[in-house]
Amino acid sequence: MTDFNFVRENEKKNGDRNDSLRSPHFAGKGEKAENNVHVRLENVSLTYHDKTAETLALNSLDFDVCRGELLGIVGPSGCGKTTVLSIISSIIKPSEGSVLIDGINAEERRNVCGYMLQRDELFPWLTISQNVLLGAKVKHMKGRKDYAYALLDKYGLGDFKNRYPQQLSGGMRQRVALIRTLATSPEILLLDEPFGALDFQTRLRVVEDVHAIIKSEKKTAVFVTHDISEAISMCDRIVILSARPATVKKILDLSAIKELAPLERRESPLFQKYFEDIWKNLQNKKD
Amino acid sequence: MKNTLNCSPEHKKYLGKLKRKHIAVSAMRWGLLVLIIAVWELLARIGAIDSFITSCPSRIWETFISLCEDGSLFTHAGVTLYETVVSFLLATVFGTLIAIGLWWCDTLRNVLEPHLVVLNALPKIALGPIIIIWVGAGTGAIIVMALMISLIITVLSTLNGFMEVDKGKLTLMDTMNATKFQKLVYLVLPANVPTIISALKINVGLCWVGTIMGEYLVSRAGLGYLIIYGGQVFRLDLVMTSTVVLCVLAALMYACVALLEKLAYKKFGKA
Ligand SMILES: Nc1ncnc2c1ncn2[C@@H]1O[C@H](COP(=O)(O)OP(=O)(O)OP(=O)(O)O)[C@@H](O)[C@H]1O
Ligand SMILES: [Mg+2]
Repeated sequence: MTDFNFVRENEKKNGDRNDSLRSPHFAGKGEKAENNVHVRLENVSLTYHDKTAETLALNSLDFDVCRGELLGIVGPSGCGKTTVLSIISSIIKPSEGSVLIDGINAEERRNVCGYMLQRDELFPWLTISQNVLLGAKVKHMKGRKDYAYALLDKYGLGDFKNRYPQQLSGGMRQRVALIRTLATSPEILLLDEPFGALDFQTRLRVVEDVHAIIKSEKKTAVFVTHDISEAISMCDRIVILSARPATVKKILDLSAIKELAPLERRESPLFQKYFEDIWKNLQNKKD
Repeated sequence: MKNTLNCSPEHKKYLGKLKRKHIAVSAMRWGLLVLIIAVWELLARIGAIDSFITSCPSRIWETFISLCEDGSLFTHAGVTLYETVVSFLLATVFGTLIAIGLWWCDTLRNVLEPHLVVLNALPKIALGPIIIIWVGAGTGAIIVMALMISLIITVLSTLNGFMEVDKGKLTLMDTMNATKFQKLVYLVLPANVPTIISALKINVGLCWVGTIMGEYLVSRAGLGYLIIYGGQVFRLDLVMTSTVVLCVLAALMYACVALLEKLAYKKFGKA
């Protein structure tokens, strides 16, 4: 406990460093930066308890996600990336610290989050169209059908509406899961390695599409991946987490290539530089 | 099956072979039944077995006809069928409801589970005298008897299915902010259609056991009563006829559940 407090105190003293960590786009503009924060993690720690052990997964995380920003999270396997998303969506409560959405307790804003899990979790007894509309049904949202069907058509699943998930390939299932998340039009998208089961071609295309959707609909998104080049090709900023217990190792600002589309970014000279930066940070445990 | 018209000759051959095999198997099934009946009848006719002790197919048939003519067969079969169907429905409905309650409330489940397991291990016939004293010697006692036998196993197996619902899918419901009731309706129940159906299948058998056992203990009517009565007055024809009718009724009820299973799988896909 005292350790956390100590770190916290230290950060408070070191005020300006903290500020630049939080909102780099608007550093120095004070109030405006505050208004633009959509999700804020304050000193979030989490310990898992079970019968055999307690596991400290997150160790006082502090970062912001700005409105309309696509924030990437990279880190070694098992470091706590999924846990971060579960905390933002209020599925689990932080052991310490708090999460604020629009400046209020995240738990009261649960409804604005759309969370796409690492596994597709499609229900085998529902057809594709019923699966896609499940979220809308649970949230009592009317008239989402046309939008969901349009998305299915757009992603080449139009002919599979009445099939069952077992009849689809892994990549198709993952697209269905993404559409299920989008179908309720959440303000904040939480994506947990959403492209894991896609082949490279589809992956490039879906990355392009998802990037376009998030940007055109002005959604805020937190995007977890283990693929460094994917993170660089999509995100506005990238949070690099250390091995468990996760701490923020570095926040990389990609505003220099912000205007480029994912495929164009891969050709940018800066791409390699960012890649090496992240790679180095993921390699050495202590620096 | 839709495209048998435009399939290759080899595939046609394969399908033909499959069909012939199917026909052969069902011919042998019925053949075996006919053979048993014929041998039984023959042995009785030539006096190799005493048909007073073993009865024989022709005498069973005569008894069946005479029971039909005076209408008593319908009364007795009706009584037993009624008791079985009622206890079957009660066991299924209450079993599932209790399982839902225990799934809903963790504390209740943790408290009650060991008690249920012990109750399940108890041979229910031992409760016969208690049931008769509490409920009275009548149809009620028979239904309670059948319920005791099938209810607890229904609760335990259904609850087991409920608890085994995939954790990831429950998390998915959490991400959608689903209430506990929504989790139940959209996830837990549909995921357990196979569990519930297999509980139904077991229940059909158990309820027959329960009603016949109950009738042995208390009744004035029913197939179980006919069997006991026939045994006491040494009318083996009556015992055998009642047993055959019982067999046919149980098979019919099982067929109904199998049909239900088919419908459910059609509705819920290959869950
Ligand atoms: N329910 C749980 N109970 C106990 N420990 C858990 C639980 N869930 C996760 N953990 C532990 O917390 C740590 C972080 O898990 P998390 O799933 O967040 O990692 P991750 O970064 O998403 O990993 P991956 O990249 O493999 O998906 C892991 O070391 C894991 O062992
Ligand atoms: Mg994960």
